[in-house]
Amino acid sequence: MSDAQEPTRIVFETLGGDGAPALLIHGFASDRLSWGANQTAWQGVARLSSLDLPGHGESGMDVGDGRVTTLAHRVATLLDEKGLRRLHLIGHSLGGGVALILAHTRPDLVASLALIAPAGLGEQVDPTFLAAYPDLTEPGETEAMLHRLVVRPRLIGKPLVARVLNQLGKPGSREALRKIGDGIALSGPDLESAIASIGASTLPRLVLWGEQDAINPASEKKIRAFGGELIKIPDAGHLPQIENLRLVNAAVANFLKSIDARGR
Amino acid sequence: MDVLIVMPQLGNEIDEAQVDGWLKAVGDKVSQGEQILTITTPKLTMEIEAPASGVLKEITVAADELASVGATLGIIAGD
Repeated sequence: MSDAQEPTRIVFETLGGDGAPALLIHGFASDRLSWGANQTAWQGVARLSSLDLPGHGESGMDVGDGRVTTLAHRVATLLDEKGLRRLHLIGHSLGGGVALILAHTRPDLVASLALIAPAGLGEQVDPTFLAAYPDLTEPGETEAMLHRLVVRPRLIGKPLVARVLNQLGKPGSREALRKIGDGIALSGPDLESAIASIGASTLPRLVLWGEQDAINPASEKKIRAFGGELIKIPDAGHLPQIENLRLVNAAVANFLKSIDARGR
Repeated sequence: MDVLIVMPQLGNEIDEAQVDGWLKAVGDKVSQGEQILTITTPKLTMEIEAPASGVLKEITVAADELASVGATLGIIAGD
Protein backbone atom coordinates (compact mmCIF):
# COMPACT_ATOMS: atom_id res chain seq x y z
CA MET A 1 0.00 0.00 0.00
CA SER A 2 1.41 3.42 -0.82
CA ASP A 3 2.02 6.19 1.67
CA ALA A 4 -0.77 8.20 0.04
CA GLN A 5 -3.20 5.39 0.87
CA GLU A 6 -1.82 4.90 4.37
CA PRO A 7 -0.47 8.29 5.45
CA THR A 8 -0.08 7.38 9.13
CA ARG A 9 1.89 4.21 8.48
CA ILE A 10 5.08 3.87 10.54
CA VAL A 11 7.81 1.63 9.15
CA PHE A 12 9.21 -0.57 11.91
CA GLU A 13 12.14 -2.93 11.50
CA THR A 14 13.42 -5.67 13.77
CA LEU A 15 17.22 -5.67 13.55
CA GLY A 16 18.02 -8.50 15.95
CA GLY A 17 20.67 -8.95 18.61
CA ASP A 18 21.07 -10.44 22.06
CA GLY A 19 19.57 -9.04 25.21
CA ALA A 20 16.65 -6.91 26.29
CA PRO A 21 14.63 -5.12 23.61
CA ALA A 22 15.80 -1.66 22.55
CA LEU A 23 14.33 0.79 20.07
CA LEU A 24 16.36 3.27 17.99
CA ILE A 25 14.60 6.58 17.29
CA HIS A 26 16.32 8.85 14.77
CA GLY A 27 16.48 12.62 14.57
CA PHE A 28 14.85 15.35 12.47
CA ALA A 29 15.05 14.69 8.71
CA SER A 30 16.94 11.42 9.26
CA ASP A 31 15.62 7.84 9.21
CA ARG A 32 16.13 4.36 10.59
CA LEU A 33 19.07 3.61 8.30
CA SER A 34 21.11 6.34 9.95
CA TRP A 35 22.09 3.96 12.78
CA GLY A 36 24.28 1.81 10.55
CA ALA A 37 27.49 2.83 12.29
CA ASN A 38 26.13 1.90 15.71
CA GLN A 39 23.88 -1.06 15.15
CA THR A 40 26.48 -3.81 15.18
CA ALA A 41 28.04 -2.59 18.44
CA TRP A 42 24.70 -2.51 20.26
CA GLN A 43 23.36 -5.78 18.90
CA GLY A 44 25.84 -7.48 21.21
CA VAL A 45 23.96 -6.23 24.26
CA ALA A 46 20.38 -5.63 23.10
CA ARG A 47 17.73 -6.91 20.73
CA LEU A 48 17.38 -3.90 18.45
CA SER A 49 14.49 -2.49 16.49
CA SER A 50 14.25 0.78 14.62
CA LEU A 51 11.58 2.84 12.95
CA ASP A 52 11.02 5.76 10.63
CA LEU A 53 9.20 8.52 12.51
CA PRO A 54 6.10 9.96 10.81
CA GLY A 55 7.16 12.24 7.96
CA HIS A 56 10.51 10.49 7.59
CA GLY A 57 12.05 7.72 5.52
CA GLU A 58 9.45 5.28 4.24
CA SER A 59 6.78 6.14 6.81
CA GLY A 60 3.63 8.03 5.92
CA MET A 61 3.82 11.79 5.65
CA ASP A 62 0.84 12.58 7.90
CA VAL A 63 2.43 14.10 11.01
CA GLY A 64 -0.69 15.65 12.53
CA ASP A 65 0.24 18.91 14.21
CA GLY A 66 3.90 17.89 14.14
CA ARG A 67 4.42 18.23 17.89
CA VAL A 68 6.81 15.86 19.62
CA THR A 69 3.94 14.59 21.76
CA THR A 70 1.94 13.73 18.64
CA LEU A 71 4.85 11.76 17.18
CA ALA A 72 5.37 9.99 20.51
CA HIS A 73 1.69 9.07 20.66
CA ARG A 74 1.92 7.51 17.20
CA VAL A 75 4.96 5.51 18.27
CA ALA A 76 3.16 4.37 21.44
CA THR A 77 0.20 3.19 19.36
CA LEU A 78 2.55 1.20 17.15
CA LEU A 79 4.30 -0.39 20.14
CA ASP A 80 0.91 -1.29 21.63
CA GLU A 81 -0.12 -2.92 18.36
CA LYS A 82 3.06 -4.96 18.42
CA GLY A 83 2.68 -5.84 22.10
CA LEU A 84 6.07 -4.38 22.94
CA ARG A 85 6.82 -3.20 26.50
CA ARG A 86 9.77 -2.08 28.61
CA LEU A 87 12.04 -1.07 25.80
CA HIS A 88 15.38 0.62 26.19
CA LEU A 89 14.95 3.74 24.08
CA ILE A 90 17.97 5.12 22.25
CA GLY A 91 17.01 8.44 20.71
CA HIS A 92 18.87 11.16 18.84
CA SER A 93 17.76 14.80 18.77
CA LEU A 94 14.06 14.77 17.80
CA GLY A 95 14.06 11.04 18.54
CA GLY A 96 15.41 11.80 22.00
CA GLY A 97 12.50 14.18 22.54
CA VAL A 98 10.08 11.48 21.44
CA ALA A 99 11.74 9.10 23.91
CA LEU A 100 11.38 11.66 26.73
CA ILE A 101 7.67 12.07 26.06
CA LEU A 102 7.16 8.31 25.87
CA ALA A 103 8.92 7.78 29.20
CA HIS A 104 6.70 10.45 30.76
CA THR A 105 3.33 9.53 29.27
CA ARG A 106 3.77 5.77 28.85
CA PRO A 107 6.28 4.60 31.45
CA ASP A 108 5.09 1.02 30.92
CA LEU A 109 6.78 1.12 27.51
CA VAL A 110 10.18 2.31 28.70
CA ALA A 111 12.93 0.51 30.61
CA SER A 112 15.62 3.17 30.19
CA LEU A 113 16.67 6.21 28.15
CA ALA A 114 19.93 6.68 26.26
CA LEU A 115 19.62 10.12 24.72
CA ILE A 116 21.98 11.71 22.21
CA ALA A 117 21.64 15.51 22.00
CA PRO A 118 17.91 15.19 22.66
CA ALA A 119 15.32 17.85 21.98
CA GLY A 120 14.21 19.22 25.34
CA LEU A 121 17.55 19.02 27.14
CA GLY A 122 19.35 21.52 24.93
CA GLU A 123 19.23 25.29 24.97
CA GLN A 124 17.11 25.23 21.82
CA VAL A 125 17.06 23.37 18.52
CA ASP A 126 18.32 26.03 16.09
CA PRO A 127 15.12 27.50 14.61
CA THR A 128 16.92 28.69 11.49
CA PHE A 129 17.98 25.09 10.77
CA LEU A 130 14.46 23.75 11.27
CA ALA A 131 12.95 26.48 9.13
CA ALA A 132 15.41 26.32 6.25
CA TYR A 133 15.92 22.56 5.95
CA PRO A 134 12.54 21.70 4.36
CA ASP A 135 13.11 24.30 1.64
CA LEU A 136 16.52 23.05 0.50
CA THR A 137 16.70 22.55 -3.24
CA GLU A 138 20.29 23.22 -4.31
CA PRO A 139 23.24 20.88 -3.60
CA GLY A 140 25.49 23.74 -2.52
CA GLU A 141 23.13 25.16 0.06
CA THR A 142 22.26 21.64 1.22
CA GLU A 143 25.90 20.77 1.77
CA ALA A 144 26.43 24.01 3.70
CA MET A 145 23.39 23.28 5.85
CA LEU A 146 24.55 19.73 6.59
CA HIS A 147 28.02 20.99 7.50
CA ARG A 148 26.42 22.72 10.48
CA LEU A 149 25.67 19.28 11.91
CA VAL A 150 29.27 18.14 12.19
CA VAL A 151 32.73 19.25 13.22
CA ARG A 152 34.52 17.67 10.27
CA PRO A 153 33.04 18.64 6.89
CA ARG A 154 34.38 15.48 5.27
CA LEU A 155 31.53 13.63 6.96
CA ILE A 156 29.13 15.34 4.59
CA GLY A 157 29.79 13.75 1.22
CA LYS A 158 28.17 14.60 -2.07
CA PRO A 159 26.28 11.26 -2.18
CA LEU A 160 24.72 12.16 1.16
CA VAL A 161 23.70 15.57 -0.16
CA ALA A 162 22.07 13.94 -3.17
CA ARG A 163 20.14 11.55 -0.96
CA VAL A 164 18.90 14.33 1.30
CA LEU A 165 17.51 16.16 -1.72
CA ASN A 166 16.00 12.93 -3.03
CA GLN A 167 14.20 12.39 0.28
CA LEU A 168 12.95 15.98 0.30
CA GLY A 169 11.60 15.39 -3.19
CA LYS A 170 9.21 12.69 -1.98
CA PRO A 171 5.58 13.83 -2.03
CA GLY A 172 4.63 15.37 1.29
CA SER A 173 8.16 15.32 2.73
CA ARG A 174 8.78 19.06 2.83
CA GLU A 175 5.39 19.85 4.32
CA ALA A 176 5.82 17.13 6.95
CA LEU A 177 9.20 18.51 8.01
CA ARG A 178 7.85 22.06 8.14
CA LYS A 179 5.11 20.90 10.51
CA ILE A 180 7.56 18.97 12.65
CA GLY A 181 9.94 21.94 12.74
CA ASP A 182 7.11 24.13 13.97
CA GLY A 183 5.99 21.36 16.31
CA ILE A 184 9.41 21.10 17.96
CA ALA A 185 9.31 24.81 18.69
CA LEU A 186 5.89 24.42 20.32
CA SER A 187 6.86 21.34 22.35
CA GLY A 188 8.86 23.10 25.06
CA PRO A 189 6.23 22.83 27.81
CA ASP A 190 5.54 19.15 27.07
CA LEU A 191 9.24 18.36 27.16
CA GLU A 192 9.73 20.36 30.36
CA SER A 193 7.00 18.33 32.06
CA ALA A 194 8.61 15.11 30.88
CA ILE A 195 12.05 16.18 32.11
CA ALA A 196 10.68 17.16 35.53
CA SER A 197 8.84 13.87 36.03
CA ILE A 198 11.68 11.69 34.79
CA GLY A 199 14.12 13.72 36.87
CA ALA A 200 12.17 12.72 39.97
CA SER A 201 12.06 9.05 38.97
CA THR A 202 14.49 6.15 39.20
CA LEU A 203 14.42 5.47 35.47
CA PRO A 204 17.96 4.66 34.31
CA ARG A 205 19.13 7.36 31.94
CA LEU A 206 22.21 8.39 30.04
CA VAL A 207 22.77 11.63 28.11
CA LEU A 208 25.44 11.97 25.44
CA TRP A 209 26.31 15.28 23.82
CA GLY A 210 28.83 16.46 21.24
CA GLU A 211 31.00 19.15 22.80
CA GLN A 212 30.69 21.32 19.71
CA ASP A 213 27.00 20.86 18.96
CA ALA A 214 25.91 23.95 17.00
CA ILE A 215 22.35 22.78 16.30
CA ASN A 216 21.11 21.92 19.80
CA PRO A 217 23.74 22.97 22.37
CA ALA A 218 23.48 21.17 25.70
CA SER A 219 21.78 22.98 28.57
CA GLU A 220 23.74 22.17 31.70
CA LYS A 221 20.86 23.45 33.83
CA LYS A 222 18.26 21.21 32.22
CA ILE A 223 20.56 18.21 32.25
CA ARG A 224 21.28 18.69 35.95
CA ALA A 225 17.54 18.75 36.66
CA PHE A 226 17.10 15.64 34.50
CA GLY A 227 19.79 13.73 36.37
CA GLY A 228 21.49 10.57 35.24
CA GLU A 229 24.90 10.40 33.67
CA LEU A 230 26.11 13.00 31.14
CA ILE A 231 28.97 12.11 28.82
CA LYS A 232 30.38 14.90 26.70
CA ILE A 233 31.74 13.64 23.41
CA PRO A 234 34.87 15.39 22.14
CA ASP A 235 35.49 16.08 18.44
CA ALA A 236 31.77 15.98 17.74
CA GLY A 237 28.91 18.29 16.87
CA HIS A 238 25.27 17.28 16.60
CA LEU A 239 25.99 13.77 15.28
CA PRO A 240 28.34 12.29 17.89
CA GLN A 241 27.09 8.78 17.12
CA ILE A 242 28.82 9.16 13.75
CA GLU A 243 31.55 11.69 14.53
CA ASN A 244 32.94 9.79 17.50
CA LEU A 245 31.19 6.51 17.06
CA ARG A 246 33.66 4.40 19.02
CA LEU A 247 33.07 6.42 22.18
CA VAL A 248 29.29 6.63 21.73
CA ASN A 249 28.96 2.97 20.84
CA ALA A 250 30.91 1.94 23.93
CA ALA A 251 29.03 4.33 26.24
CA VAL A 252 25.60 3.11 25.17
CA ALA A 253 26.66 -0.54 25.21
CA ASN A 254 28.10 -0.16 28.72
CA PHE A 255 24.94 1.63 29.88
CA LEU A 256 22.72 -1.16 28.58
CA LYS A 257 24.97 -3.79 30.12
CA SER A 258 24.88 -2.01 33.49
CA ILE A 259 21.07 -2.02 33.47
CA ASP A 260 21.04 -5.67 32.52
CA ALA A 261 23.37 -6.40 35.43
CA ARG A 262 20.98 -4.63 37.78
CA GLY A 263 18.23 -6.90 36.52
CA ARG A 264 15.88 -4.21 35.31
CA MET B 1 52.25 -8.86 9.75
CA ASP B 2 49.70 -7.57 7.27
CA VAL B 3 46.40 -6.35 8.72
CA LEU B 4 43.36 -5.96 6.49
CA ILE B 5 41.21 -2.84 6.50
CA VAL B 6 37.70 -4.21 6.04
CA MET B 7 34.39 -2.61 5.06
CA PRO B 8 32.36 -2.90 8.29
CA GLN B 9 28.82 -4.13 8.77
CA LEU B 10 26.64 -1.05 8.46
CA GLY B 11 23.13 -2.24 9.16
CA ASN B 12 20.88 -5.03 7.97
CA GLU B 13 19.89 -3.30 4.74
CA ILE B 14 23.32 -2.08 3.69
CA ASP B 15 25.28 -4.49 1.48
CA GLU B 16 27.87 -2.10 0.11
CA ALA B 17 29.26 1.39 0.53
CA GLN B 18 31.31 3.83 -1.48
CA VAL B 19 34.82 4.81 -0.53
CA ASP B 20 34.67 8.60 -0.43
CA GLY B 21 38.34 9.17 -0.01
CA TRP B 22 41.52 8.09 1.70
CA LEU B 23 42.99 10.35 4.38
CA LYS B 24 46.32 8.55 4.08
CA ALA B 25 48.47 7.60 1.10
CA VAL B 26 50.33 4.37 0.46
CA GLY B 27 53.56 4.53 2.43
CA ASP B 28 52.17 6.75 5.19
CA LYS B 29 52.54 5.71 8.81
CA VAL B 30 49.22 5.10 10.58
CA SER B 31 48.30 4.58 14.21
CA GLN B 32 45.70 2.16 15.47
CA GLY B 33 42.41 4.03 15.90
CA GLU B 34 43.45 6.85 13.55
CA GLN B 35 40.87 7.76 10.95
CA ILE B 36 42.25 6.74 7.59
CA LEU B 37 39.36 6.83 5.10
CA THR B 38 35.75 7.90 4.74
CA ILE B 39 32.93 5.83 3.32
CA THR B 40 29.36 6.68 2.37
CA THR B 41 26.34 4.42 2.73
CA PRO B 42 22.84 5.25 1.53
CA LYS B 43 22.28 7.19 4.74
CA LEU B 44 25.53 8.36 6.26
CA THR B 45 29.16 9.17 5.71
CA MET B 46 31.56 7.85 8.31
CA GLU B 47 35.23 7.46 9.01
CA ILE B 48 37.04 4.15 9.20
CA GLU B 49 39.81 3.75 11.76
CA ALA B 50 43.09 1.96 11.23
CA PRO B 51 42.78 -1.51 12.78
CA ALA B 52 46.50 -1.55 13.60
CA SER B 53 49.58 0.66 13.71
CA GLY B 54 52.07 0.43 10.89
CA VAL B 55 52.43 1.62 7.31
CA LEU B 56 49.62 1.78 4.77
CA LYS B 57 50.93 -0.81 2.35
CA GLU B 58 48.14 -1.02 -0.20
CA ILE B 59 44.86 0.65 -1.14
CA THR B 60 42.61 -2.01 -2.60
CA VAL B 61 39.49 0.07 -3.17
CA ALA B 62 40.12 3.57 -4.48
CA ALA B 63 38.08 6.71 -3.88
CA ASP B 64 34.65 6.77 -5.53
CA GLU B 65 34.58 2.97 -5.89
CA LEU B 66 31.96 0.72 -4.30
CA ALA B 67 32.84 -2.16 -2.01
CA SER B 68 30.77 -4.85 -0.35
CA VAL B 69 30.49 -5.29 3.40
CA GLY B 70 33.44 -7.44 4.44
CA ALA B 71 35.56 -6.48 1.44
CA THR B 72 39.21 -5.58 1.93
CA LEU B 73 39.67 -1.85 1.39
CA GLY B 74 43.39 -1.73 2.06
CA ILE B 75 46.28 -3.37 3.86
CA ILE B 76 48.45 -2.14 6.71
CA ALA B 77 51.90 -3.57 7.22
CA GLY B 78 51.74 -3.81 10.99
CA ASP B 79 54.52 -2.68 13.32
